[in-house]
Amino acid sequence: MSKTLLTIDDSKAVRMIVKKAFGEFDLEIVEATNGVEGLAAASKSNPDLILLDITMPVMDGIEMLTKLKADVNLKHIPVIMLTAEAGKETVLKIAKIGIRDYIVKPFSEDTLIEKVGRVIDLRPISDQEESRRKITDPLNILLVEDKPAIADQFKSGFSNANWTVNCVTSTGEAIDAAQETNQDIIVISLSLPRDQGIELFRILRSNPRNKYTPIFALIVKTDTHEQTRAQETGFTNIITKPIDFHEVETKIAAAANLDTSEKYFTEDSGCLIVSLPATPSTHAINEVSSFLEDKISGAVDSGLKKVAFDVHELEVLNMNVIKLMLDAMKSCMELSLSYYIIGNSKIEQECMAFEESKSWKIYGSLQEALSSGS
Amino acid sequence: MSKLIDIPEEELVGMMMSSVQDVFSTMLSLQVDLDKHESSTPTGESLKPAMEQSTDMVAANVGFSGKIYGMVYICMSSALATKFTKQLLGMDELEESDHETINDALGELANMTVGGFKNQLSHKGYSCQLTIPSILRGSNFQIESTSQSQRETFYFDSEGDSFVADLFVREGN
Repeated sequence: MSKTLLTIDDSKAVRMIVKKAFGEFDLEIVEATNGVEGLAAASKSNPDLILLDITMPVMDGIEMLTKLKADVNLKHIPVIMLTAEAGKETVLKIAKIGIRDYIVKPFSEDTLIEKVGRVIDLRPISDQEESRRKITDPLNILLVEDKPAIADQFKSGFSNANWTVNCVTSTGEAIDAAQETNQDIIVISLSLPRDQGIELFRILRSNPRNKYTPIFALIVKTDTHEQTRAQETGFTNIITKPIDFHEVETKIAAAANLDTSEKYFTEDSGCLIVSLPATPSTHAINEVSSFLEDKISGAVDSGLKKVAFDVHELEVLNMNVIKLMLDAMKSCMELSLSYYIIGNSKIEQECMAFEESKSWKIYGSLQEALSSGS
Repeated sequence: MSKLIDIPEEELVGMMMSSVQDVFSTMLSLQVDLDKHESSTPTGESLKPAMEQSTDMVAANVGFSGKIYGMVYICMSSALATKFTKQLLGMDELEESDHETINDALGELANMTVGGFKNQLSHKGYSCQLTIPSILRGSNFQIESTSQSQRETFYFDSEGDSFVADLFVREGN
Protein backbone atom coordinates (compact mmCIF):
# COMPACT_ATOMS: atom_id res chain seq x y z
CA MET A 1 0.00 0.00 0.00
CA SER A 2 1.27 3.47 -0.88
CA LYS A 3 2.66 5.68 1.84
CA THR A 4 1.33 9.23 2.16
CA LEU A 5 3.42 12.35 2.63
CA LEU A 6 1.78 15.67 3.55
CA THR A 7 3.81 18.70 2.47
CA ILE A 8 2.76 21.97 4.11
CA ASP A 9 4.36 25.04 2.59
CA ASP A 10 2.95 28.34 1.36
CA SER A 11 5.35 28.15 -1.59
CA LYS A 12 3.98 26.25 -4.56
CA ALA A 13 7.57 25.99 -5.80
CA VAL A 14 8.64 24.02 -2.71
CA ARG A 15 5.64 21.72 -2.98
CA MET A 16 6.47 21.13 -6.66
CA ILE A 17 10.12 20.34 -5.77
CA VAL A 18 8.95 17.87 -3.11
CA LYS A 19 6.59 16.16 -5.58
CA LYS A 20 9.33 15.95 -8.19
CA ALA A 21 11.85 14.53 -5.70
CA PHE A 22 9.57 11.60 -4.85
CA GLY A 23 8.28 11.04 -8.38
CA GLU A 24 9.99 7.66 -8.70
CA PHE A 25 8.66 6.35 -5.39
CA ASP A 26 5.34 4.75 -4.56
CA LEU A 27 4.33 7.73 -2.43
CA GLU A 28 1.13 9.75 -2.44
CA ILE A 29 1.81 13.45 -1.93
CA VAL A 30 -0.87 15.58 -0.26
CA GLU A 31 -0.41 19.36 -0.23
CA ALA A 32 -1.45 22.16 2.09
CA THR A 33 -0.51 25.85 1.99
CA ASN A 34 -0.68 26.77 5.69
CA GLY A 35 -1.16 25.33 9.16
CA VAL A 36 -4.96 25.43 9.10
CA GLU A 37 -5.12 23.55 5.81
CA GLY A 38 -2.36 21.27 7.08
CA LEU A 39 -4.32 20.18 10.18
CA ALA A 40 -7.40 19.51 8.06
CA ALA A 41 -5.35 17.52 5.52
CA ALA A 42 -3.65 15.54 8.30
CA SER A 43 -7.05 14.56 9.78
CA LYS A 44 -8.41 13.60 6.38
CA SER A 45 -5.45 11.72 4.89
CA ASN A 46 -3.70 10.38 8.04
CA PRO A 47 -0.26 10.77 6.41
CA ASP A 48 2.78 8.66 7.28
CA LEU A 49 4.92 11.81 7.46
CA ILE A 50 4.51 15.59 7.40
CA LEU A 51 7.01 18.02 5.88
CA LEU A 52 6.35 21.34 7.57
CA ASP A 53 7.46 24.89 6.80
CA ILE A 54 7.52 27.51 9.56
CA THR A 55 6.90 30.92 8.04
CA MET A 56 3.43 30.71 6.50
CA PRO A 57 0.35 32.96 6.45
CA VAL A 58 -2.89 32.19 8.36
CA MET A 59 -1.23 29.69 10.74
CA ASP A 60 2.53 29.22 10.90
CA GLY A 61 4.35 25.92 11.30
CA ILE A 62 5.08 26.28 15.03
CA GLU A 63 1.43 26.84 15.89
CA MET A 64 0.36 23.99 13.65
CA LEU A 65 2.93 21.64 15.19
CA THR A 66 1.73 22.57 18.69
CA LYS A 67 -1.89 21.83 17.76
CA LEU A 68 -0.92 18.60 15.99
CA LYS A 69 0.94 17.29 19.03
CA ALA A 70 -2.01 18.22 21.27
CA ASP A 71 -4.45 16.22 19.13
CA VAL A 72 -4.73 12.63 20.31
CA ASN A 73 -5.58 11.45 16.78
CA LEU A 74 -2.70 13.24 15.06
CA LYS A 75 0.16 13.40 17.52
CA HIS A 76 1.63 10.08 16.35
CA ILE A 77 2.37 11.46 12.86
CA PRO A 78 6.12 12.10 12.47
CA VAL A 79 7.07 15.61 11.38
CA ILE A 80 10.17 16.82 9.55
CA MET A 81 10.62 20.59 9.45
CA LEU A 82 11.56 21.92 6.01
CA THR A 83 12.30 25.57 6.52
CA ALA A 84 14.66 28.45 5.96
CA GLU A 85 14.28 29.32 9.65
CA ALA A 86 17.22 27.84 11.56
CA GLY A 87 17.82 30.33 14.37
CA LYS A 88 18.95 28.59 17.55
CA GLU A 89 15.97 29.76 19.64
CA THR A 90 13.44 28.61 17.05
CA VAL A 91 15.10 25.22 16.58
CA LEU A 92 15.16 24.61 20.35
CA LYS A 93 11.52 25.66 20.67
CA ILE A 94 10.47 23.26 17.92
CA ALA A 95 12.62 20.42 19.27
CA LYS A 96 10.79 20.70 22.60
CA ILE A 97 7.41 20.29 20.89
CA GLY A 98 8.66 17.15 19.16
CA ILE A 99 9.85 16.56 15.62
CA ARG A 100 11.63 13.73 13.85
CA ASP A 101 14.15 15.77 11.86
CA TYR A 102 15.02 19.24 10.61
CA ILE A 103 15.95 20.18 7.04
CA VAL A 104 17.20 23.70 6.48
CA LYS A 105 16.49 25.36 3.12
CA PRO A 106 18.22 25.42 0.70
CA PHE A 107 18.10 21.65 0.44
CA SER A 108 19.17 19.11 -2.13
CA GLU A 109 16.83 16.46 -3.48
CA ASP A 110 19.18 13.77 -2.15
CA THR A 111 19.07 15.15 1.40
CA LEU A 112 15.29 15.27 1.26
CA ILE A 113 15.02 11.67 0.03
CA GLU A 114 17.57 10.43 2.54
CA LYS A 115 15.90 12.05 5.55
CA VAL A 116 12.38 11.07 4.51
CA GLY A 117 13.66 7.55 3.76
CA ARG A 118 14.82 7.24 7.36
CA VAL A 119 11.27 7.73 8.59
CA ILE A 120 9.15 5.91 6.00
CA ASP A 121 9.92 2.95 3.77
CA LEU A 122 10.31 4.43 0.28
CA ARG A 123 9.57 1.86 -2.40
CA PRO A 124 10.02 2.49 -6.11
CA ILE A 125 6.84 2.59 -8.17
CA SER A 126 6.20 -1.11 -8.79
CA ASP A 127 6.47 -2.63 -12.22
CA GLN A 128 2.89 -3.80 -11.94
CA GLU A 129 1.69 -0.22 -11.80
CA GLU A 130 3.61 0.75 -14.89
CA SER A 131 3.50 -1.57 -17.89
CA ARG A 132 5.96 -4.39 -17.24
CA ARG A 133 9.28 -3.70 -18.92
CA LYS A 134 10.42 -5.97 -21.71
CA ILE A 135 13.81 -7.59 -22.01
CA THR A 136 14.43 -5.52 -25.16
CA ASP A 137 13.70 -2.21 -23.35
CA PRO A 138 16.59 0.05 -22.26
CA LEU A 139 18.24 -0.94 -18.98
CA ASN A 140 20.92 0.93 -17.00
CA ILE A 141 23.58 -1.33 -15.50
CA LEU A 142 26.23 0.11 -13.20
CA LEU A 143 29.36 -2.04 -13.01
CA VAL A 144 31.88 -1.34 -10.23
CA GLU A 145 35.07 -3.12 -11.32
CA ASP A 146 38.70 -1.98 -11.29
CA LYS A 147 39.87 -4.49 -13.90
CA PRO A 148 39.58 -3.04 -17.42
CA ALA A 149 39.36 -6.47 -19.11
CA ILE A 150 36.24 -7.44 -17.14
CA ALA A 151 34.73 -4.00 -17.76
CA ASP A 152 35.31 -4.43 -21.52
CA GLN A 153 33.68 -7.87 -21.46
CA PHE A 154 30.64 -6.43 -19.73
CA LYS A 155 30.31 -3.61 -22.24
CA SER A 156 30.31 -5.95 -25.21
CA GLY A 157 28.94 -9.16 -23.69
CA PHE A 158 25.19 -8.54 -23.66
CA SER A 159 23.23 -9.49 -26.75
CA ASN A 160 20.77 -6.70 -26.02
CA ALA A 161 21.97 -3.44 -27.53
CA ASN A 162 19.52 -1.44 -25.40
CA TRP A 163 21.29 -2.37 -22.19
CA THR A 164 23.75 0.34 -21.21
CA VAL A 165 26.71 -0.61 -19.03
CA ASN A 166 28.32 2.25 -17.10
CA CYS A 167 31.68 1.12 -15.69
CA VAL A 168 33.29 2.84 -12.71
CA THR A 169 36.43 1.78 -10.90
CA SER A 170 36.01 3.15 -7.37
CA THR A 171 33.39 3.23 -4.64
CA GLY A 172 33.27 7.04 -4.71
CA GLU A 173 32.44 7.06 -8.42
CA ALA A 174 29.85 4.33 -7.85
CA ILE A 175 28.05 6.33 -5.14
CA ASP A 176 27.99 9.41 -7.39
CA ALA A 177 26.74 7.41 -10.38
CA ALA A 178 24.03 5.74 -8.30
CA GLN A 179 22.85 9.17 -7.14
CA GLU A 180 22.96 10.86 -10.53
CA THR A 181 21.27 8.22 -12.66
CA ASN A 182 18.49 5.82 -11.87
CA GLN A 183 20.32 2.49 -12.02
CA ASP A 184 18.24 -0.60 -12.82
CA ILE A 185 20.98 -3.06 -11.90
CA ILE A 186 24.22 -2.65 -9.96
CA VAL A 187 27.08 -5.16 -10.22
CA ILE A 188 29.89 -4.87 -7.66
CA SER A 189 33.15 -6.76 -8.02
CA LEU A 190 34.17 -8.25 -4.70
CA SER A 191 37.79 -8.22 -5.84
CA LEU A 192 37.98 -4.48 -5.11
CA PRO A 193 40.74 -3.87 -2.55
CA ARG A 194 40.21 -3.65 1.22
CA ASP A 195 36.76 -5.21 1.16
CA GLN A 196 35.38 -2.10 -0.54
CA GLY A 197 32.79 -4.12 -2.47
CA ILE A 198 30.96 -5.22 0.69
CA GLU A 199 31.21 -1.73 2.18
CA LEU A 200 29.85 -0.18 -1.05
CA PHE A 201 26.90 -2.61 -1.00
CA ARG A 202 26.01 -1.46 2.52
CA ILE A 203 26.29 2.23 1.62
CA LEU A 204 24.12 1.83 -1.49
CA ARG A 205 21.49 -0.21 0.35
CA SER A 206 21.20 2.42 3.09
CA ASN A 207 20.17 5.01 0.51
CA PRO A 208 16.39 4.94 -0.18
CA ARG A 209 17.12 5.47 -3.89
CA ASN A 210 18.90 2.11 -4.09
CA LYS A 211 17.12 0.26 -1.33
CA TYR A 212 15.30 -2.02 -3.78
CA THR A 213 17.73 -1.93 -6.72
CA PRO A 214 18.98 -5.46 -7.55
CA ILE A 215 22.68 -5.56 -6.60
CA PHE A 216 24.83 -8.44 -7.87
CA ALA A 217 28.21 -9.55 -6.54
CA LEU A 218 30.83 -10.42 -9.16
CA ILE A 219 33.05 -13.24 -7.86
CA VAL A 220 35.44 -15.85 -9.25
CA LYS A 221 33.55 -19.11 -9.85
CA THR A 222 35.77 -21.20 -7.58
CA ASP A 223 35.71 -18.79 -4.64
CA THR A 224 32.87 -20.40 -2.72
CA HIS A 225 33.85 -18.69 0.53
CA GLU A 226 33.34 -15.24 -1.03
CA GLN A 227 30.09 -16.37 -2.64
CA THR A 228 28.72 -17.44 0.75
CA ARG A 229 29.81 -14.12 2.24
CA ALA A 230 27.99 -12.22 -0.54
CA GLN A 231 24.81 -14.19 0.10
CA GLU A 232 25.03 -13.52 3.82
CA THR A 233 25.59 -9.82 3.19
CA GLY A 234 22.34 -9.65 1.23
CA PHE A 235 23.38 -9.33 -2.42
CA THR A 236 20.45 -10.02 -4.76
CA ASN A 237 22.39 -12.65 -6.68
CA ILE A 238 25.90 -13.66 -7.74
CA ILE A 239 27.60 -13.44 -11.14
CA THR A 240 30.60 -15.72 -11.46
CA LYS A 241 33.81 -15.23 -13.44
CA PRO A 242 34.44 -16.37 -16.13
CA ILE A 243 31.19 -14.73 -17.12
CA ASP A 244 28.46 -16.62 -18.97
CA PHE A 245 26.48 -13.71 -20.38
CA HIS A 246 23.51 -15.86 -21.32
CA GLU A 247 23.21 -16.85 -17.67
CA VAL A 248 23.77 -13.24 -16.52
CA GLU A 249 21.00 -11.98 -18.82
CA THR A 250 18.64 -14.55 -17.34
CA LYS A 251 19.55 -13.55 -13.79
CA ILE A 252 19.20 -9.84 -14.54
CA ALA A 253 15.85 -10.37 -16.25
CA ALA A 254 14.58 -12.27 -13.21
CA ALA A 255 15.90 -9.69 -10.73
CA ALA A 256 14.48 -6.75 -12.67
CA ASN A 257 11.20 -8.59 -13.32
CA LEU A 258 11.54 -8.12 -17.09
CA ASP A 259 9.09 -9.62 -19.54
CA THR A 260 11.34 -12.06 -21.43
CA SER A 261 8.67 -13.44 -23.73
CA GLU A 262 10.08 -11.58 -26.74
CA LYS A 263 13.10 -13.88 -26.57
CA TYR A 264 10.89 -16.84 -27.45
CA PHE A 265 7.64 -15.55 -29.03
CA THR A 266 7.40 -13.59 -32.30
CA GLU A 267 4.97 -13.28 -35.20
CA ASP A 268 5.67 -13.93 -38.86
CA SER A 269 3.43 -14.47 -41.87
CA GLY A 270 0.26 -14.58 -39.75
CA CYS A 271 1.78 -17.23 -37.52
CA LEU A 272 2.85 -17.24 -33.86
CA ILE A 273 6.45 -18.48 -33.78
CA VAL A 274 7.77 -20.16 -30.61
CA SER A 275 11.57 -20.36 -30.84
CA LEU A 276 13.82 -22.38 -28.57
CA PRO A 277 17.51 -21.58 -28.11
CA ALA A 278 20.32 -24.04 -28.96
CA THR A 279 20.70 -25.32 -25.42
CA PRO A 280 17.61 -24.34 -23.42
CA SER A 281 18.23 -24.41 -19.68
CA THR A 282 15.58 -25.62 -17.26
CA HIS A 283 14.96 -21.95 -16.46
CA ALA A 284 14.38 -21.18 -20.16
CA ILE A 285 11.98 -24.15 -20.56
CA ASN A 286 10.06 -22.96 -17.50
CA GLU A 287 9.99 -19.42 -18.86
CA VAL A 288 8.53 -20.56 -22.20
CA SER A 289 6.07 -22.79 -20.40
CA SER A 290 4.89 -19.94 -18.16
CA PHE A 291 4.15 -17.72 -21.18
CA LEU A 292 2.70 -20.45 -23.40
CA GLU A 293 -0.99 -20.41 -22.49
CA ASP A 294 -1.29 -16.60 -22.54
CA LYS A 295 0.62 -16.28 -25.79
CA ILE A 296 -1.41 -18.92 -27.60
CA SER A 297 -4.75 -17.53 -26.40
CA GLY A 298 -3.44 -14.03 -27.24
CA ALA A 299 -2.69 -15.25 -30.77
CA VAL A 300 -6.29 -16.41 -31.11
CA ASP A 301 -7.52 -13.06 -29.81
CA SER A 302 -5.51 -11.19 -32.42
CA GLY A 303 -6.77 -13.39 -35.26
CA LEU A 304 -3.78 -15.72 -35.75
CA LYS A 305 -4.69 -19.29 -36.66
CA LYS A 306 -1.30 -21.00 -36.84
CA VAL A 307 1.56 -21.69 -34.44
CA ALA A 308 5.07 -22.79 -35.44
CA PHE A 309 7.60 -24.30 -33.02
CA ASP A 310 11.02 -23.33 -34.30
CA VAL A 311 13.58 -25.80 -32.92
CA HIS A 312 16.11 -25.63 -35.75
CA GLU A 313 18.81 -24.22 -33.43
CA LEU A 314 18.24 -26.94 -30.86
CA GLU A 315 21.39 -29.02 -30.30
CA VAL A 316 19.83 -31.91 -28.36
CA LEU A 317 16.22 -32.99 -28.10
CA ASN A 318 15.38 -34.13 -24.58
CA MET A 319 12.29 -34.99 -22.59
CA ASN A 320 11.97 -31.46 -21.13
CA VAL A 321 11.69 -30.03 -24.62
CA ILE A 322 9.35 -32.81 -25.77
CA LYS A 323 7.08 -32.25 -22.77
CA LEU A 324 6.98 -28.52 -23.47
CA MET A 325 6.07 -29.16 -27.12
CA LEU A 326 3.34 -31.64 -26.14
CA ASP A 327 1.79 -29.07 -23.77
CA ALA A 328 1.90 -26.46 -26.51
CA MET A 329 0.34 -28.82 -29.07
CA LYS A 330 -2.44 -29.63 -26.62
CA SER A 331 -3.21 -25.92 -26.17
CA CYS A 332 -3.29 -25.50 -29.97
CA MET A 333 -5.67 -28.40 -30.44
CA GLU A 334 -8.01 -27.08 -27.73
CA LEU A 335 -8.22 -23.79 -29.61
CA SER A 336 -8.39 -25.41 -33.07
CA LEU A 337 -5.09 -23.87 -34.16
CA SER A 338 -2.85 -25.45 -36.81
CA TYR A 339 0.70 -26.08 -35.60
CA TYR A 340 4.01 -26.90 -37.26
CA ILE A 341 7.49 -27.87 -36.13
CA ILE A 342 10.43 -26.19 -37.88
CA GLY A 343 13.70 -28.09 -37.54
CA ASN A 344 16.31 -30.00 -39.49
CA SER A 345 17.19 -33.57 -40.36
CA LYS A 346 19.16 -34.05 -37.11
CA ILE A 347 16.15 -33.08 -35.01
CA GLU A 348 13.99 -35.30 -37.18
CA GLN A 349 16.25 -38.24 -36.38
CA GLU A 350 16.25 -37.46 -32.68
CA CYS A 351 12.46 -37.31 -32.66
CA MET A 352 12.44 -40.92 -33.82
CA ALA A 353 14.18 -41.94 -30.61
CA PHE A 354 11.20 -41.04 -28.40
CA GLU A 355 7.78 -42.67 -28.40
CA GLU A 356 6.13 -39.24 -27.83
CA SER A 357 7.79 -37.55 -30.80
CA LYS A 358 8.41 -40.23 -33.41
CA SER A 359 5.30 -39.29 -35.40
CA TRP A 360 6.11 -35.56 -35.53
CA LYS A 361 6.35 -33.98 -38.97
CA ILE A 362 9.40 -31.69 -39.15
CA TYR A 363 9.54 -28.87 -41.75
CA GLY A 364 12.76 -27.29 -42.98
CA SER A 365 11.41 -23.71 -42.91
CA LEU A 366 8.32 -21.69 -42.04
CA GLN A 367 7.57 -21.15 -45.74
CA GLU A 368 7.67 -24.91 -46.36
CA ALA A 369 5.33 -25.51 -43.43
CA LEU A 370 2.85 -22.82 -44.47
CA SER A 371 2.79 -23.98 -48.08
CA SER A 372 2.21 -27.62 -47.07
CA GLY A 373 -1.52 -26.93 -46.71
CA SER A 374 -1.82 -29.26 -43.72
CA MET B 1 30.72 56.48 7.29
CA SER B 2 29.18 55.46 10.63
CA LYS B 3 27.72 51.97 10.87
CA LEU B 4 24.29 51.35 12.37
CA ILE B 5 24.87 47.76 13.41
CA ASP B 6 27.75 46.25 15.26
CA ILE B 7 28.83 43.85 12.54
CA PRO B 8 31.87 44.71 10.40
CA GLU B 9 31.05 45.44 6.76
CA GLU B 10 33.28 42.64 5.49
CA GLU B 11 31.36 40.16 7.66
CA LEU B 12 28.03 41.38 6.31
CA VAL B 13 29.39 41.00 2.77
CA GLY B 14 30.60 37.49 3.53
CA MET B 15 27.28 36.52 5.09
CA MET B 16 25.24 37.73 2.14
CA MET B 17 27.62 36.18 -0.38
CA SER B 18 27.58 32.78 1.28
CA SER B 19 23.78 32.85 1.58
CA VAL B 20 23.28 33.69 -2.09
CA GLN B 21 25.90 31.20 -3.25
CA ASP B 22 24.49 28.42 -1.07
CA VAL B 23 20.96 28.88 -2.44
CA PHE B 24 21.99 29.19 -6.07
CA SER B 25 24.39 26.25 -6.04
CA THR B 26 22.06 23.93 -4.07
CA MET B 27 18.73 24.76 -5.69
CA LEU B 28 19.77 25.88 -9.19
CA SER B 29 23.19 24.29 -9.67
CA LEU B 30 24.50 27.72 -10.67
CA GLN B 31 27.69 29.45 -9.69
CA VAL B 32 27.30 33.02 -8.45
CA ASP B 33 30.08 35.60 -8.05
CA LEU B 34 30.01 38.99 -6.40
CA ASP B 35 30.82 41.66 -9.00
CA LYS B 36 30.85 44.61 -6.62
CA HIS B 37 29.46 45.85 -3.34
CA GLU B 38 28.36 49.36 -2.28
CA SER B 39 27.59 50.67 1.17
CA SER B 40 25.50 53.75 2.02
CA THR B 41 23.21 55.30 4.65
CA PRO B 42 19.90 56.45 3.12
CA THR B 43 18.04 59.31 4.73
CA GLY B 44 14.50 58.00 4.28
CA GLU B 45 13.83 59.14 0.73
CA SER B 46 12.44 56.86 -2.00
CA LEU B 47 15.15 54.89 -3.71
CA LYS B 48 15.48 53.28 -7.08
CA PRO B 49 16.48 49.62 -7.06
CA ALA B 50 20.15 49.38 -7.82
CA MET B 51 19.61 48.13 -11.36
CA GLU B 52 18.94 49.55 -14.80
CA GLN B 53 15.16 49.51 -15.20
CA SER B 54 14.91 49.59 -18.97
CA THR B 55 13.07 46.26 -19.05
CA ASP B 56 10.45 44.59 -16.91
CA MET B 57 11.90 43.98 -13.50
CA VAL B 58 11.00 41.65 -10.67
CA ALA B 59 12.00 42.26 -7.07
CA ALA B 60 11.38 39.70 -4.34
CA ASN B 61 11.64 41.04 -0.82
CA VAL B 62 11.80 39.32 2.53
CA GLY B 63 12.18 41.08 5.85
CA PHE B 64 13.41 40.07 9.26
CA SER B 65 12.64 41.57 12.65
CA GLY B 66 13.66 41.05 16.25
CA LYS B 67 16.91 42.23 17.78
CA ILE B 68 17.73 43.44 14.30
CA TYR B 69 15.41 44.79 11.59
CA GLY B 70 15.91 44.64 7.92
CA MET B 71 14.70 43.96 4.43
CA VAL B 72 16.36 42.35 1.45
CA TYR B 73 15.27 43.03 -2.13
CA ILE B 74 16.49 40.63 -4.77
CA CYS B 75 16.04 42.37 -8.13
CA MET B 76 16.46 41.02 -11.64
CA SER B 77 14.99 41.22 -15.10
CA SER B 78 11.77 39.34 -15.77
CA ALA B 79 13.62 37.18 -18.31
CA LEU B 80 16.23 36.13 -15.73
CA ALA B 81 13.51 35.42 -13.15
CA THR B 82 11.88 33.13 -15.72
CA LYS B 83 15.18 31.36 -16.33
CA PHE B 84 15.80 30.83 -12.61
CA THR B 85 12.25 29.53 -12.13
CA LYS B 86 12.64 26.98 -14.91
CA GLN B 87 15.90 25.84 -13.37
CA LEU B 88 14.46 25.62 -9.86
CA LEU B 89 11.41 23.61 -10.87
CA GLY B 90 13.09 21.49 -13.56
CA MET B 91 10.75 22.83 -16.24
CA ASP B 92 11.54 22.69 -19.95
CA GLU B 93 9.07 25.40 -20.92
CA LEU B 94 7.77 28.41 -19.01
CA GLU B 95 6.15 31.57 -20.39
CA GLU B 96 7.53 34.83 -19.04
CA SER B 97 3.89 35.85 -18.61
CA ASP B 98 3.29 33.11 -16.02
CA HIS B 99 3.69 35.60 -13.20
CA GLU B 100 2.09 33.37 -10.55
CA THR B 101 4.67 30.60 -10.94
CA ILE B 102 7.63 32.95 -11.34
CA ASN B 103 6.62 35.17 -8.41
CA ASP B 104 6.26 32.15 -6.17
CA ALA B 105 9.60 30.64 -7.20
CA LEU B 106 11.46 33.94 -6.87
CA GLY B 107 9.80 34.55 -3.51
CA GLU B 108 11.06 31.16 -2.32
CA LEU B 109 14.60 31.84 -3.57
CA ALA B 110 14.51 35.13 -1.65
CA ASN B 111 13.10 33.37 1.41
CA MET B 112 15.92 30.83 1.37
CA THR B 113 18.58 33.49 0.75
CA VAL B 114 17.38 35.85 3.46
CA GLY B 115 16.78 32.84 5.73
CA GLY B 116 20.42 31.87 5.38
CA PHE B 117 21.52 35.45 6.07
CA LYS B 118 19.16 35.79 9.03
CA ASN B 119 20.33 32.50 10.53
CA GLN B 120 23.89 33.81 10.51
CA LEU B 121 22.66 36.99 12.24
CA SER B 122 20.95 34.81 14.86
CA HIS B 123 24.18 32.94 15.49
CA LYS B 124 25.82 36.31 16.20
CA GLY B 125 23.21 37.08 18.87
CA TYR B 126 20.79 39.03 16.66
CA SER B 127 17.81 36.71 16.88
CA CYS B 128 14.97 37.64 14.58
CA GLN B 129 12.10 36.19 12.53
CA LEU B 130 11.50 36.16 8.81
CA THR B 131 8.53 37.74 7.08
CA ILE B 132 6.59 36.18 4.23
CA PRO B 133 8.06 37.05 0.80
CA SER B 134 6.37 39.61 -1.41
CA ILE B 135 6.99 40.53 -5.03
CA LEU B 136 7.24 43.84 -6.86
CA ARG B 137 6.97 43.99 -10.64
CA GLY B 138 7.37 46.86 -13.07
CA SER B 139 9.83 48.89 -15.07
CA ASN B 140 10.10 51.95 -12.86
CA PHE B 141 9.36 51.26 -9.22
CA GLN B 142 10.85 52.79 -6.08
CA ILE B 143 11.68 51.44 -2.66
CA GLU B 144 10.65 53.34 0.49
CA SER B 145 13.68 53.05 2.69
CA THR B 146 13.49 53.27 6.46
CA SER B 147 15.45 56.12 7.93
CA GLN B 148 18.37 55.24 10.13
CA SER B 149 19.08 52.08 8.18
CA GLN B 150 22.28 50.93 6.60
CA ARG B 151 22.13 50.00 2.90
CA GLU B 152 24.40 47.33 1.48
CA THR B 153 24.03 46.65 -2.23
CA PHE B 154 25.46 43.50 -3.75
CA TYR B 155 25.85 43.12 -7.52
CA PHE B 156 25.97 39.44 -8.47
CA ASP B 157 26.90 37.67 -11.67
CA SER B 158 25.53 34.23 -12.39
CA GLU B 159 27.25 32.78 -15.43
CA GLY B 160 26.82 36.02 -17.41
CA ASP B 161 23.49 37.14 -15.94
CA SER B 162 23.32 40.01 -13.44
CA PHE B 163 21.10 40.52 -10.44
CA VAL B 164 21.19 42.62 -7.30
CA ALA B 165 20.59 41.98 -3.61
CA ASP B 166 19.77 45.20 -1.76
CA LEU B 167 19.99 44.94 2.02
CA PHE B 168 18.56 47.56 4.40
CA VAL B 169 19.39 46.85 8.02
CA ARG B 170 19.29 48.50 11.45
CA GLU B 171 19.44 47.32 15.03
CA GLY B 172 16.21 46.77 16.95
CA ASN B 173 15.09 49.05 19.72
